[in-house]
Amino acid sequence: MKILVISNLYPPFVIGGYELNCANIVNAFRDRGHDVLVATTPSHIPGPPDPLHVRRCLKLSSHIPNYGVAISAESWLHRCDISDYDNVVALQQLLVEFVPDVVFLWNMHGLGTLHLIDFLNVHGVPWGIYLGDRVFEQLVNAAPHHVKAVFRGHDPGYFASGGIMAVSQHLVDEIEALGCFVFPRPPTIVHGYAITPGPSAPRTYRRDGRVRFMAAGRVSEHKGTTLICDAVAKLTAEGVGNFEVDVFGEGDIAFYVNYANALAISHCTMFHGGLTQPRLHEQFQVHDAFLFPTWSREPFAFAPFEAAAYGCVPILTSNCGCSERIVDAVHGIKIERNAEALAAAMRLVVEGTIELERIGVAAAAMVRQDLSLAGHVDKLEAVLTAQQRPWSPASLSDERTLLLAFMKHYLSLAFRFGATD
Amino acid sequence: MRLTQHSWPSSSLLRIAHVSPAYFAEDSLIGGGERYVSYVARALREAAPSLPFSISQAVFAMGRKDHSYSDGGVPVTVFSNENPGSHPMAVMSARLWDVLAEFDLIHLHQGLTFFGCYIATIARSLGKTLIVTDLGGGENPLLLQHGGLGLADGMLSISEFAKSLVSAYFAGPHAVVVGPVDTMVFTAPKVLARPRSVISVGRLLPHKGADRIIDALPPNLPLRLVGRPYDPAYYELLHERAAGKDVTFIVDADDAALLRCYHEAGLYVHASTFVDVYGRRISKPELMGLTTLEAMATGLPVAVAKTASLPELAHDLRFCRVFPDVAALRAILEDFAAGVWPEPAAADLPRRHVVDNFSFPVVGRRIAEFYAEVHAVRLMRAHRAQFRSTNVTP
Repeated sequence: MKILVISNLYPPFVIGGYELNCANIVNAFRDRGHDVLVATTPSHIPGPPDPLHVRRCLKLSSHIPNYGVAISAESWLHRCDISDYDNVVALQQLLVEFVPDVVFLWNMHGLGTLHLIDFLNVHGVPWGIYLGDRVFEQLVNAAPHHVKAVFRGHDPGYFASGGIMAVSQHLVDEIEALGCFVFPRPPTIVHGYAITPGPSAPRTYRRDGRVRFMAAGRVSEHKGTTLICDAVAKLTAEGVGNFEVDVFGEGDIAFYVNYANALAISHCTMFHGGLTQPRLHEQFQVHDAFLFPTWSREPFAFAPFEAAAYGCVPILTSNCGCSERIVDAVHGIKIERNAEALAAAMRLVVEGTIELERIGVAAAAMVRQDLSLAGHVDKLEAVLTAQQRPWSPASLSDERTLLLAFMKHYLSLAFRFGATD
Repeated sequence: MRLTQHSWPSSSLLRIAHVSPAYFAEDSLIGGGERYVSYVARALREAAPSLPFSISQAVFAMGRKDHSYSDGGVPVTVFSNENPGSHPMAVMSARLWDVLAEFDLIHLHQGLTFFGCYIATIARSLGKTLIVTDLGGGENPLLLQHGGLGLADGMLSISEFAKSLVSAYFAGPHAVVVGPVDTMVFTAPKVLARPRSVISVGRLLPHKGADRIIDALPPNLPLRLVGRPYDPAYYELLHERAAGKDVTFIVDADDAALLRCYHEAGLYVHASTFVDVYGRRISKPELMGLTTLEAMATGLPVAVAKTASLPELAHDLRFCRVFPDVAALRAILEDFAAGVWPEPAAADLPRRHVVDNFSFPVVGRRIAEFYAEVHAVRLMRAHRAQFRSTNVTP
């Protein structure tokens, strides 16, 4: 297949797993012989030269500072999620030049999403989207009804007419609830995957009689770093010892180092900063359990599963997206999202009440069998293949194609910010 | 303009949607633009039997609340405005996406407005043939200076004057079709005994120039001004200028009363101006002059100002005169009062002229032929592009 991938970010500039995942999938598709062209935005983070299949021709309005630019929040939202004329022009040129069999959308926030989707629909270009976050909720709630109607954005049967893939049912439910709409067809759930170099190896838990917990990801409130500190404080206050917590990742580390000091838990709670993927995988093999008391709206983080692939038992929020793949006490430990519940689970692990070995083996088997990258790519490939249909690039070359896009962009602005003429 | 070998297949059905930001009714707007939509739909209906292809049509308009009705057999659907903004011409309904998908050709009325922008983008997105008519109401820069009018496949102007205002912004097929007029409603009286009295019909607004008729009115020549007073200050000014003259204001005439007024008059005057009594300039004082055609349909000779499209209606000096200013109008009115003009032999000419050129069946056929021509060209253009694409794509 000729696949045009569109993503707001692409390495080396990334915010989270969404765009890293995009890059993984692009490479996997290319390894399978697909002709892939990636359209994304410039990266200011130094890195190796982009390969030929990466074209940084789009304009990004999100995730960048707006210093010196006088712009209202509403105007910014409009550009991010409703319409960015420059990006429509870029898309038109890409489609004319590459003539893809299918367009594969990823995180679209910041690109003027609704207009891009409308443009694909108007010209009959088949498309699919990988929902790793609330892209559709953002575009639905980013403008009033009469503004979205310029792009037929009031009609889910239209703006969600592509092949929809979502990382969890939890995310789908959240988008429908917050966006107040129902997907015209149930999205295909494509739970994440764990890239696991090498086979699963036997491992030892509670080495030296100590339990080693770890956490990896953004060091922040919403990922549960505060809860981890509070839980550790509770355990130490109760006299529970024989454990340590290693936290890996970037974020608000200065605050949490101070917070740990204030709670007098620095001796057993350490912040190590970010690690490369290979180094992180080494840590999965020497830690007993993976703490993931993330917020309930977590769509589907990959780290708990990567840890589980090595038998590092996930302890995670019971109603987050990741929980869909975890059977409690079989593949991991599900908890309510509070410090007391997390502390209780950690205590049971430290006391040996929870059989880490049994759960770790089951979790590793589940991830390696069900959540492999190859299996994941199979699912995406199937959805994109099903989307394929003949489409004619002729309408893209029509002299009025960009005129229509121009009119829609400025009419949407007039409808939103005041028609004066 | 006629059907050509490139015309739309005669065996097919052409589904036509008329779309307008308002409709002709007391609770919407009573103006020429709104009446025009109703007239065109009915003209097409009357012309349909003589066409070499079938048509179906519906009217969609914007209003305060959802409702529907039949206008002379043509279904009219009114959608409530979904734009909370205050701009009167930035009305819209998202439901138009679905309903317009069912038609082949969209005729956009009062097209040079934000509503026109909205409909043009829908029509182009849905791949429909789009024909635009300017009936006033706006001069949207997106459509004019920024080229949005190019989204249309054809323009139908209601006068050469109207065409001249937009021809710089539209290079595609552009037809001028004046009319139509309902010659079954606007009929001549049974007995053509035209009294020496003058009538003018239209909203009592400064650009309609009723003050000019009053100023030109000779003594002892009665004048009836029929129309609603939308501008209190101007209405008062008219009364002041009418002092000592035989001027009657009729501000609440319904259709029957209006026809009686036409029948009781001997001359119709249309005095619209591009510089009003206050010195203000008006860019589009008359795009067509429908009331002049209606007056002629009742058999009245007419005197029209040399303003905008009005002279286009007055080719035959036997029953039409054109005046450039008040002095010239005074001379015409004096001729009329003295019985010098028009000649008695010309009595039945005005109506015959209108019936032959501007009646529903005649104008309906012209418009339908233009529709078919433009639709055929668009389809051919799409097929050519498809063909080129199929043969170029690797």
